[in-house]
Amino acid sequence: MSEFTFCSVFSIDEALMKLAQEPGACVVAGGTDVTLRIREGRQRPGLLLDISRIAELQGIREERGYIHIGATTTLAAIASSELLAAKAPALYEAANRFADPNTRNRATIGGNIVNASPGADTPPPLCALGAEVLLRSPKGTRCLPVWEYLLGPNRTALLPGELVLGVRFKPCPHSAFIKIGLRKAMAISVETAAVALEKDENGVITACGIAFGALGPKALRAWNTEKALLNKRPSNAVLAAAVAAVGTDIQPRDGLRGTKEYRYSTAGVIFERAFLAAYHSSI
Amino acid sequence: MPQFGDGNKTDKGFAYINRSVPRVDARDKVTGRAKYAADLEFPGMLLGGALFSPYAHAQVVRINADKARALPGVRAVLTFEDIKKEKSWGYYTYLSGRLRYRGDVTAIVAAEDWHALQAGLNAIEVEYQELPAVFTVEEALAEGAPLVHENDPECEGNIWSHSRYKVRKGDVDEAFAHCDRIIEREYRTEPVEHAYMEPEAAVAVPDSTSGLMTVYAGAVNPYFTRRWVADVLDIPRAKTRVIQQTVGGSFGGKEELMGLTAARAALLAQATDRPVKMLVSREQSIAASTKRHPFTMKYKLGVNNDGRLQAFQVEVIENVGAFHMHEFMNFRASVHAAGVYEIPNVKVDVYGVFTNTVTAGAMRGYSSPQLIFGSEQLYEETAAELGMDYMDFKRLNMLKPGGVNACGQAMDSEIILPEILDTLFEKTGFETKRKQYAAQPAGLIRKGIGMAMFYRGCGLGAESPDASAGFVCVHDDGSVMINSGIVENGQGMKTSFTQIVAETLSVSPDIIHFIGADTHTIPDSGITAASRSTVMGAQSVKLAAEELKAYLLETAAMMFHAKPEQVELKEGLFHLIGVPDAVIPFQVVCNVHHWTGQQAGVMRWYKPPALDYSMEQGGGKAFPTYAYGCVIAEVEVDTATGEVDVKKVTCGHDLGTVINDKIVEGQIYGGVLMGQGFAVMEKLVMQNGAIRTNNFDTYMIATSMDLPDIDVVLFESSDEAGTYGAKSVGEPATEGVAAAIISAIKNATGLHIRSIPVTKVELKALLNRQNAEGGSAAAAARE
Repeated sequence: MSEFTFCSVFSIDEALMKLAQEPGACVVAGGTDVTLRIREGRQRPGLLLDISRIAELQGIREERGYIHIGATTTLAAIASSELLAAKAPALYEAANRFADPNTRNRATIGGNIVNASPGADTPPPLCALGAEVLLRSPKGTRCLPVWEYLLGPNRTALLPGELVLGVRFKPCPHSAFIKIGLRKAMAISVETAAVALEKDENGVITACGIAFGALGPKALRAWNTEKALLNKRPSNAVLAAAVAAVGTDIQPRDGLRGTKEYRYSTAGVIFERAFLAAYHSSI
Repeated sequence: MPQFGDGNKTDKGFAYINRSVPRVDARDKVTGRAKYAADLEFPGMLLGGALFSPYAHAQVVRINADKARALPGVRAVLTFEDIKKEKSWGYYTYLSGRLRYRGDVTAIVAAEDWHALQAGLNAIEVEYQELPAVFTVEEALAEGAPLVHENDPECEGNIWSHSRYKVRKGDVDEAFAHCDRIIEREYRTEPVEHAYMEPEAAVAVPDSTSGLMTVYAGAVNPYFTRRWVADVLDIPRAKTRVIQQTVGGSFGGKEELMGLTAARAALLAQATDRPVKMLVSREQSIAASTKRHPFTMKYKLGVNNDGRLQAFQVEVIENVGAFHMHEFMNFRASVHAAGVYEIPNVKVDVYGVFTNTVTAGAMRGYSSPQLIFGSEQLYEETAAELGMDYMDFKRLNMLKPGGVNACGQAMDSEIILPEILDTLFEKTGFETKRKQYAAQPAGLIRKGIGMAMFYRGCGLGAESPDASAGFVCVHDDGSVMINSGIVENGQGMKTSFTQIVAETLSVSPDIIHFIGADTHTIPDSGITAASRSTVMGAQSVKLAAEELKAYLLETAAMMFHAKPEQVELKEGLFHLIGVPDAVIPFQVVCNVHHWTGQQAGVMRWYKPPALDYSMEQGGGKAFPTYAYGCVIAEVEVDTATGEVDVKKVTCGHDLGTVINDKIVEGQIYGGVLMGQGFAVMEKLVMQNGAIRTNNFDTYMIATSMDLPDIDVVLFESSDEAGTYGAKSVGEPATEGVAAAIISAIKNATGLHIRSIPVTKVELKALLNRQNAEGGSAAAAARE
């Protein structure tokens, strides 16, 4: 561990002021990623700015057609939210498959997207749900779709002095998430798939978002796979075409947790399982 | 039916063993009161640390510690140039300029605090010359391969000649020439991390007045740790004291790096004349501590068309890493290589090969988990080749009472394996399920059931003297104190020894107190390993308790004005036999015993009868007795993702006499989890000799979520060799689990797996290949 100053702030404005004063400050909430980086010597921040006590950044609420989740909402809160279980099951499931109860009690959704690990569990469902990240700086607030906010491994569009307020997305009861890990809990993803869709009374897919985790440098929107499904009624042939398209949407690599071969030969499987779960879920 | 449980089906007539009593150390552990070495603080204590090698094989060209020594807070820096003795007891190096794996250390630092220690380690200037390295057995045995140890009389090239063990029975060549079929197969296993929760830690406390060096450590074997410390300081054992702290898990692993850590802490304590605490980080522990030996097993099997095994030949090659002190493991390996089968002609050769990888050492099972996987798969493949049901094949060839095992030992004690098999098969519906699953229609999720049967020689056997010291004494208040040269490693021996003394004296275990391990209190009793503690190690405390009881009976007899043979001690009361009201409490007799100056303490030595085994000939009586076991595993394989969900594991073990059934069950639950990890989860990823899976986020031990249902069936048998007839179980608990899981995967998918671990990534690759070869899983699964 290196030495650092730890400072808690209690409002968004106070946080922004501190960030302006100390450009090298590292924002921390649950600390499950930051303390790890400090322990491994990958980061030596002089100031840790604790935002976990800012009340405005916490909580899950539905407002004017959107679900808002504050940046410092814990994964445990998401994993036990009845609202999300009903209206965003993909995110709810991802939170339930996230690490273990101890980590979920500390880790926050804001931290999970700021850290921008290619294998992070919440970005794929957020991408599939079409979520936007809300960013605040002294100049004002801006919104970015999650897949544009994420740039690559540990890289995001977050500007210096800017703070992640949270995410928002429209409810999507027909959504699902599948994760492959090397064990049933406390496992960083080998790969994940999230599917969110809307269908009409004839079963035709009228909107869909599909995203993958750990199958590229960041959570990937599966544009080709989505195209193969949009405005179609899923038959075996349609589904086969969509599964075939998965291979064109992902950029898997050999890594510590899985091989390129493994990922190519199973990404279609988890997509199909997520799709079937989302499509057949009853509202 | 000698089955323990359900109202204690076997009643051996014991009062204090053969039942569960609470663990004597449970309360301290669950309340956090137990002290581990890392918890200790001493006035003036410094922190020590080590500079590990950044290369798998290198020579230090130049090392300069001047800058490090000049730093504030740094109190001592010792490089390999500063110490008299580089090579350690046990063939490792304390500090060295020739680095043979990434666990080697060039320098150590003692500093006032963590920051000063890190600064000191970072300020040591080292210039390395990287040397060509060998990582696999194949690379190490190739012509012209770089040598891990040059000019070493114990080596032929990279082969560790000292580690060669063999078994010879009959004439395999003759049998191969005449048998109907010959099956040749090769199986492999990979290294396994012990994954104890507590990494190595030691505190060395010097006393410059007496010259005594005291080391507090979570040492699995304090007497071995003492050797390292005494050796590096060049002081007598009698001036070296190791006090064992609570051990946070070992499984055979807290030995070499533990000893080296204690020795390095002691060097720094000697140099500074201050207490030094040395902590090993998780990453350092995984990089430098030993692993379960990776085995390459090359089999040749001769069999007749009727299924009768004629000849068994195997060459077992171990990658021992850069250093080694476990040549004796190969004795055990050679004896157990063919499994619990009767084969007339046997030829086994076992040897280790040095490489520039992490070193191999003892790990729960000590060769058996690897060998049982290899041989049980071999027999399964052989039965398939013969078109025989594999249980028919196994039953036909299994070792039976009165038979002769693979190393030529006549089996003169009870063999309850058939009973274990019958009970477990009935409990699980094994034979029906096995056939059903083999014929299940093609589908994504496929069920499988598999089994492994095995035996284990109890205690150290002919490997080395299985001797130990035990001490029992009574105080004037009637409390009893016991001590042993065998130590608590978390396995529960303090509790089982307490129960054994309670049984022998016939007093409640509640009044018995175990001292704990301090090398200054009792003679070296060898390693606490090999599942020998309760079976053999407890014999000495039993003898001591018997002798002490005789003295107490004399005192009681004096009080009764009777002869000792007219008195008995029963459940805490002395009785005058035949006189119902003539009773004196234990405590009262102890008080009189003390004040009349009678002998109140006894230390006894136990050494089991000699065995008749010849290492040179490779055969004979290898172990006093054997414990038998069978594991049945049930799995579901997701053929689309390669995931193996281990649903249920049923374990049947021959305990001889159960001392404490709850402790045994706990051992077996843990053993199942370790076996599951070995089979399908725990993959140690190495790159150029560096372990990339160096913490538990990447090295996958099973979590409680991965735990299958575990059904434990304990069997008892009659055998005189162990304490009160007890047999080994600590290691058997894990030995057959991986083999049974792999057998179940075979049943589910038709795949004969020849290398473990097979994680979902490897299994999916095998399934992809199976698909590409055209055979559907269903077709291949049919036996």
